[in-house]
Amino acid sequence: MHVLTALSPNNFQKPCLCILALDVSGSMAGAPIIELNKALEEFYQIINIDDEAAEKLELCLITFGSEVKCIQEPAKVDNFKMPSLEADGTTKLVDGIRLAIKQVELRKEYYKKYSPQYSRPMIIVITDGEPDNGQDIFGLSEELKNDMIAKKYTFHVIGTTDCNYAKIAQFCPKELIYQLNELDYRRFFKWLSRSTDELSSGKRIEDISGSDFMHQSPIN
Amino acid sequence: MQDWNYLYASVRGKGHIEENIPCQDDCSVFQYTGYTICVVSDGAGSCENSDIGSKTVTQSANIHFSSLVEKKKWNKGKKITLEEWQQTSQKTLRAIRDDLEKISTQGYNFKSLSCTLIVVIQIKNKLLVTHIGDGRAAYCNSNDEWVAMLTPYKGRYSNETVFITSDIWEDEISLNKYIKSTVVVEKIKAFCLLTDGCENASFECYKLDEETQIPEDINKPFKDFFHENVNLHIPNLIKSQKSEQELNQIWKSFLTDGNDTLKNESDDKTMILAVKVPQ
Repeated sequence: MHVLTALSPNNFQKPCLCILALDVSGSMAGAPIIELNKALEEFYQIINIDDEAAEKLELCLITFGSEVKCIQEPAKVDNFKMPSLEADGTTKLVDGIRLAIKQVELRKEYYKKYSPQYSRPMIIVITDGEPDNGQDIFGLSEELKNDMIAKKYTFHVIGTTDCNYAKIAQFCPKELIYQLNELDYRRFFKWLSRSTDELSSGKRIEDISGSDFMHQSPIN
Repeated sequence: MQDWNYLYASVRGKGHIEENIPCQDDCSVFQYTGYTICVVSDGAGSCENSDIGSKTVTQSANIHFSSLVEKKKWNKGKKITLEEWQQTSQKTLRAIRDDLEKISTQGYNFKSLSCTLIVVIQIKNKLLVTHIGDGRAAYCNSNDEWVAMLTPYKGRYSNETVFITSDIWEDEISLNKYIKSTVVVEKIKAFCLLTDGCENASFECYKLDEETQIPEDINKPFKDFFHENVNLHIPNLIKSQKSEQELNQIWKSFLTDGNDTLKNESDDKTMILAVKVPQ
């Protein structure tokens, strides 16, 4: 019981965009896609019951297989239902990342008009493979490098099982590539649900508490 | 007879407790004959030695600003003009920044000490205010109206601001853009200065404009946060002869979890509340 008492105002929460670029190529079929769907649903439920997170976090879902799609435009969790993903086809990973970058740019334009401040957007790529041949890896590498310097967004690649880390490292700085044990998506998304503020601030994943189940990619 | 009482504390935010990060905020109140110096500083969350930075600038601000007040004889009633305060406060902040650079020779990277700074010097019915970065400050006049006395500098992203270690010292345009100083001359019954960890609890910051539905930072002190404390609870505590240490312990406990907004704040929280209480 406090001797002092005070009421506080209801302040508008500054929006925080989290883009999940998800690998739905054929290699994700079976257990991986089942586990990923379960993890996404749990992530959605955790955010939904956390008033502060539900008010500020905007999720955007991009899938990449043979096709690249934005299956959920940036929205707060009370404005959509978490879709169920299906795996099929090849891995247009580079195109998926480019679409994520495009979504960041579009949403920033919106924020500049409608929000006095916003958190740095985050792009998280989850993949178990490598980009299809013929994708512009080196162009993307240059773009990511410049965008990281300009702090346009934070960027991480989370690899699982057969992820080709050496190929990923051709376009993504090594320190931004992490490895997930087996198919531990649920643990990852549970961690993400309480770490978006820090991730958005540019903190390194290993400096955020509870991240010890992830490891820097094996190519380091 | 009336007297001023100062409640001040820095407490770790929820996020820093969970992450086992030290409190990166610091604050202090230095009382001299004829004037008082209040300082709050918020160490940058992304900088590993910012807790040392905030403690250093708080102490350094006391040394340099007390020296300024006495040299200018402002505490002896010599006139203070806004222009003079703006010029001298910039120079004094530069001296504090240089102190921080000296600390960096002890093995700390200079930028790792990054922190904001708000200084309020109370001399009779005047408040001299200067700041670099974000945070808030306000005063309450004799009509019980709370008025903001600085505009926080906010960057593009939330939690982005300018620090005393930033590259702002080389030209006048930058100095005038990032260092803001003002003088308040009014009958004042209370005032506060706080780091951004306390702003959601005590200020209306971002409100949706009802017509446009666009949020704006209205920078308005929230009266219901201060009113009862300033007019009832704190005077009662003073009358019950609480020591400064006991008062600050109560204040610390209040800032920790005095209401849901304070309790759930992830950032460190610092506030100095000065209240004039009839003796």
